[in-house]
Amino acid sequence: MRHNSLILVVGFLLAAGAGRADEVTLGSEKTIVSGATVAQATAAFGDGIYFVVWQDGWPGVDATADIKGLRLKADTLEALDKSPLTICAAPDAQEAPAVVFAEGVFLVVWQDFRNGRTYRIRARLVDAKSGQVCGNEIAIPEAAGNQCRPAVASDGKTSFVVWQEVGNQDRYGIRGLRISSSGKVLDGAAHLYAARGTSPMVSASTKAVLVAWSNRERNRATTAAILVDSISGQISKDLGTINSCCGDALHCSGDGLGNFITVAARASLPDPWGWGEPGAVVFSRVRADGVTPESKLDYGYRLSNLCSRSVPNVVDAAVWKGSKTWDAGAVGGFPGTQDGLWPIGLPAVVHAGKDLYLLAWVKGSIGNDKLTVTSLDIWIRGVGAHDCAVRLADLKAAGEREVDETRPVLIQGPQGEVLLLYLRLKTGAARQIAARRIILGREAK
Amino acid sequence: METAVKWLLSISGVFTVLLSGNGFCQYIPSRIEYVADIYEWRVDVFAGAANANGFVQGPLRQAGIGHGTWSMCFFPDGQAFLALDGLIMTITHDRIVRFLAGTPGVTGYQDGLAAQALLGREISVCPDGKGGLYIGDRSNRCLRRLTSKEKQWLVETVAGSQDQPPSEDLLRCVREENKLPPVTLKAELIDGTGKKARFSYLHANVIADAEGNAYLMDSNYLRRITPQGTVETLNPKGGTGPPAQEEEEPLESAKFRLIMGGGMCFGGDGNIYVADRWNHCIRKVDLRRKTVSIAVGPGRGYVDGPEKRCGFHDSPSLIVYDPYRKRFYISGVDDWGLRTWEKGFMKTIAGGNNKNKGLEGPAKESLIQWGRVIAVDPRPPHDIYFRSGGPFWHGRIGRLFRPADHGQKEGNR
Repeated sequence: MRHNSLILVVGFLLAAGAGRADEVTLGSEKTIVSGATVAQATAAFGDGIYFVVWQDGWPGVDATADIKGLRLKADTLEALDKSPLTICAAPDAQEAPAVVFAEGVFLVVWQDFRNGRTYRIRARLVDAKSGQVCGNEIAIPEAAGNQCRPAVASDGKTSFVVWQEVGNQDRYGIRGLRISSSGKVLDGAAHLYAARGTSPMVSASTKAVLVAWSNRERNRATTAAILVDSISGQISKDLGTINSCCGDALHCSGDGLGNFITVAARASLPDPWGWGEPGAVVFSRVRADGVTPESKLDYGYRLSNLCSRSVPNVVDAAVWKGSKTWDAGAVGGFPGTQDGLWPIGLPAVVHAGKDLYLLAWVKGSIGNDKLTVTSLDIWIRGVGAHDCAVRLADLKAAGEREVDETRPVLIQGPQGEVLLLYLRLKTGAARQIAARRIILGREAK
Repeated sequence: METAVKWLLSISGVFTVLLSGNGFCQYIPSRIEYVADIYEWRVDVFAGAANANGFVQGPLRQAGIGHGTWSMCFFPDGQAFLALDGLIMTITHDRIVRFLAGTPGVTGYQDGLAAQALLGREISVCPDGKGGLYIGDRSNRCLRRLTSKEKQWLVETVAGSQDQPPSEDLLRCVREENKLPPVTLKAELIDGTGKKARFSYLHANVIADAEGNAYLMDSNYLRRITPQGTVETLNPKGGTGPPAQEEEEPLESAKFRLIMGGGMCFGGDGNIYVADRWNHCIRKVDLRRKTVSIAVGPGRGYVDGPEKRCGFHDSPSLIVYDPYRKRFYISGVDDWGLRTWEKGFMKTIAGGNNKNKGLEGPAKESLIQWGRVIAVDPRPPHDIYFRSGGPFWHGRIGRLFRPADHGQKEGNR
């Protein structure tokens, strides 16, 4: 593992509207683990440590994928365990882990293909202090069809697990249930949160629990959400569509007071023929009173409002070269974007303190074949939840040449700190899961 | 009389094309002739969940196969393969969809163990005749091979390199209908072996002959790649342009106009058939005699009928040969039906009418938008697989079949 003690201090000018300066200290890059097939890393923070979990191995034919984890010191990101902890190494594939901290334990959930036919959701507790994997796997009620893409959040005591599950007519819907910090499943059967939806995310506090998911029909994905009653686990309010523009690679985070932000991508890729849509990253808010301010925004004909940034919640959007908007469909092929870059999405969001949320996403350069996006880098922006204003200007948080940095995750750490976790891909080299501390200035404290 | 019929047919096609706004043609089927047993055919969903959103393993109709399957092929024993963006999936004999090569959700370029390999966008696959698959990797501008050695699948590059991007001029050549800049072959397409060879833009699919030679339409050139990776351009004096006036022309100087097209297949006669999109016809490449001729069309408008008088709403895009029924399936851009070509006639076997309401069920009543047959099952009763636009079929592969062949009165799943 490589650790560079040099701390890079990066200054940011706040948006003109805010008129104040702030600063962020971006820690040096730390390789957490490397391997030919490491993937799908995420982490949680609790009891002063980060617990990073990932998928280790190949999930396809002749699968070897297991779920592994590693505890890190929050201040140095040094490993507390001599070697990665094996959380599940059952036959066939274990994939797509999610993790949360509650009352001294980390709850790890994942999708499991050990029967070789359908995915099941499995879960297990890991003691934060000792790193011991506790007891047996937690039995999540099984369904007839696939159960996959789990997410988990905690209000400090109770954890809320959500996933997508095949329902009627081979269509995925959203289900979820509650698990106590002792590993007891609190609901007799999984709650049906949506008859249609995929890739759910959940954020929880003592005030409210938000479940959001992607609604994909044909080429277009939107974001829908509900509020869940933490006592019963049932739907308390259906928020409907909260982002009519984007729904891919959804993430969400809350401020602990019942306010949430979801961020999603329009994961279009360049269409060299000129018929495609722009890649974009767009966030939307859910306020504690259940109001969703961005739910009715109009993104315009051919997404022109999105590309011209005339809607306030656009984090990034590709803009066709020579046009302030996205003039998709013009004859003559795709000329490229104004800055030669393309946001491929994969966004993440975390509440970083007070009114500040950090958003991370992936952006790359368009190849001259107008088909590929290469040199992927991770960008970060800070936004204010109350006014959507940019609090921290865009920062390329990971952007080494000839290395693709992708799949960022942001984890709320000790006060005033956020962990950025991501995947590094370099041709001919092993993949790496890397991390950086983000230490926030006075804006967040 | 014959002249009048020809004129009426051509006019009907012209009207279809003229009824357009902003370049988008309004679809009006000009003449549909159904296959004789049309009432026996049905369509259903073969693979892909309605809203899986990305890549998910699992039972056929619960699997996530991305936003579009670019190519599908079978091994002789019936094992199926799907080529997706950055990923090859296989369907096991117990009908479970599994990842086979590539990294779900990540595109790129890396050879090695299939589990660690990175594949490009818009790839196509076909059997290499030696127990592996050829991969036409458009975004990496190379031909790759997936082989099984000592129970491990490996990806290697046979020819071409992603290091050498094509020029803007050449890309315009394959993208713009009305601007056809000359291409200097020497500068853009280089014959040679392995990574010394250079490809520009690989069209719809890769095919292979019995000797294991792969064939690709690259820009407007037909290229043959030996199993050892030696690339030869078969029409080096060709390029972009219309067919010659003569009924047959030398392959060496044959021109094609492939923009977003270039689907190709071997026919039962050993010749290659190419969907020559912007020449609005199917071209036959006789490899033995080294000649090229027009096999179907040219014609505009969704017109069934005799092969020299039929047409496509927009233009032909894919062609697949069915060796069991000894006929072809030809797909047209924006066509609302699946069509056969056999014994000198093109006919509709599913859909055809954009007013149809059906999704699964009788083939004649099914709503199939831009339907494209992509493979025929080598196992009896040789079901036919297609992809289609439209909300219902998005992220799914359809199956065209006759329930009676399965011993059923109704379609099975």
